[in-house]
Amino acid sequence: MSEARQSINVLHFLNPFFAGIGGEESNDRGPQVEVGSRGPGRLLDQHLASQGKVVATLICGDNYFMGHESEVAAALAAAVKAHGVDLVIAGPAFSAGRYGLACGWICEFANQQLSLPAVTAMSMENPGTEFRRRKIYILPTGESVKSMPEVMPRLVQFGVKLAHRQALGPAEAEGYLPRGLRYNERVGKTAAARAVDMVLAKVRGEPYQTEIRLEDQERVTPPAPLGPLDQAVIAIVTEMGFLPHGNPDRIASSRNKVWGRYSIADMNAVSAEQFMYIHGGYNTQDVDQDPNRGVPVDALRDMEREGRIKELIDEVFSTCGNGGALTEMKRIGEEMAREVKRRGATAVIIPAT
Amino acid sequence: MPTVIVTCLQDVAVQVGANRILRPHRSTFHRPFGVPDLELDRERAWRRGAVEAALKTLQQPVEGPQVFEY
Repeated sequence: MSEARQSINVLHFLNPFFAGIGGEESNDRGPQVEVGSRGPGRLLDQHLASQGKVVATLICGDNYFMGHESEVAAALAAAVKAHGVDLVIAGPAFSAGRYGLACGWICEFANQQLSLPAVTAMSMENPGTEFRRRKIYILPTGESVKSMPEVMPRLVQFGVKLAHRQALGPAEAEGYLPRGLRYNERVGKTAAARAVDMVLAKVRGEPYQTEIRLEDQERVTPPAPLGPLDQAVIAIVTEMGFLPHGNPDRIASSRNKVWGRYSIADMNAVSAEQFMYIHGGYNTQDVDQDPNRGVPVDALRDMEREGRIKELIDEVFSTCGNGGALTEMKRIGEEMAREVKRRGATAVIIPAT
Repeated sequence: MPTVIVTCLQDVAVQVGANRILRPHRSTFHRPFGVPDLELDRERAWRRGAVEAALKTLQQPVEGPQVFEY
């Protein structure tokens, strides 16, 4: 690499919220490309300084993104071509789940279809992290935008390295999340000697680092299928933030730690007069208008009356999963499962966003 | 006890180890059991179909995460 390195052209991917051009309602907006930087992209420009600049910003609503990937891809490809882009930076998404998924998608597409280096940043709890950490470069962030000032210099430094195709060291050294890839490296000891060293370190309680990390995807043994429907006792469990007006259990729209059980006894359907949804991760307008669009009580009650199923449990078990910490969500899931079982359910329907 | 998760983000459901997953095609992630574009009667009929599909999914033997469609 020569001393006077070429200035790099960066395309930045944002959603309308981070771009500062709209709230929840703007999540349905299709892709648009702006020249130059927007919102946090200005911080990228500051840190890039003479190393390069944000030449274009692609903005797309999270709702629109899901299901319209090919339209977004076309907009991205066109912008890359029009602006001579060398590097794609998406995010940071922090704990914003759908934006995180979109950022991951953008990076993977840039890598694979456009042969462009790309990097994003998001929190460990963001579903986008678990989903794509093995395929793309993701820098870890805190849960909230408060960590923005700390993240941006790392993003820029790492991105510049990628754009100049500099060799990268192991994930720990470079600050990206391990992708589970191994590179050959010449070392002084044979594999047998290294393995024995590790075992000895382990029994002595000393730190050691495995060379082969085990797959950490969660596996759940599938329960046996449900028998005849006319014997089925069905429970509805949801993370959609379904609750009665007044929110008696104070379920939070984000990073929530509680759940509730809400009676639907003697109801043929769930009405908007009584119920609503609280959830910071999706637009609740449609389900607020008709709560059966989230928890399908009307259809299940019909089936119960017709004898198609034996019973619908007369409570809905509900929480809000948006930005939830895995440990809390696991606890909530276990508590709900215990209660659902205690109520005699034989199967569970889980509407989820 | 078998469970079925009804969602449009089926990849996330697979990732977390859900075994029976139903992806209703006309819904979106912010209304898994709704299609507001339809007239009320037709939407209810559609929802009934989606619920029947969810119940059918619960009756399927599976060996790991499997995505069913409606």
